[in-house]
Amino acid sequence: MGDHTEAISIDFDPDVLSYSDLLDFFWSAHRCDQVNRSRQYMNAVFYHNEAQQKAAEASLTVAAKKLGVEVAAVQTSIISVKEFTYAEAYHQKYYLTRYPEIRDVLTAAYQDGKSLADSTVAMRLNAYLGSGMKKNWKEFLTELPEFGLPEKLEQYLERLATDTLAGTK
Amino acid sequence: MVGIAPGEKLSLADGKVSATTLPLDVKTAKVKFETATFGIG
Repeated sequence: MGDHTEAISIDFDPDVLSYSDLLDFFWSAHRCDQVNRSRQYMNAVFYHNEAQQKAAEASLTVAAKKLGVEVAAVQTSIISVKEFTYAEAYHQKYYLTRYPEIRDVLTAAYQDGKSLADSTVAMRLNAYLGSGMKKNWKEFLTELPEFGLPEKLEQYLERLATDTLAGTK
Repeated sequence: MVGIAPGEKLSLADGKVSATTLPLDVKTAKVKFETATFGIG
């Protein structure tokens, strides 16, 4: 890994979700005095511009104060993004690997790894099938037609969701 | 395996969302997005 750090990169619509919202979520899932095990697994906010840097630094101060953590005890870094490289296959859309029906359709639609990693459809499917989206299968059924998946796959996912809601899966 | 194929060259992020095949992806690719990056230990 050298000087690389495992990180998650989120493309978001600032008209829907603010950077501050994401910072709030980050601090709710992580303590600023959590010791870093290594450079590879470092806790950090990697800012992309000056506005993000200022917001991140301010949010760290608030998060530390909320926990009663002294400045000297803060372990989380706030540093500029240098470059971002997509992770290996087994890190991408992990939960979809359990569903070959979905996997095959998505890899046919997106034959290069970056496009698949960028896909909103793949991301939302991975979230619903994993531990994200609060397992809200009713919301999933509402959203499903918008994905634009082939009919057979859409029917498969509809059955999966309704069976899960019915407690039969 | 879903994701980058074995031996496929890994990409650097270029600020461009490249998924534009499925209808929802076509729609979201038009969004003027911002990027946030976190290391989560």
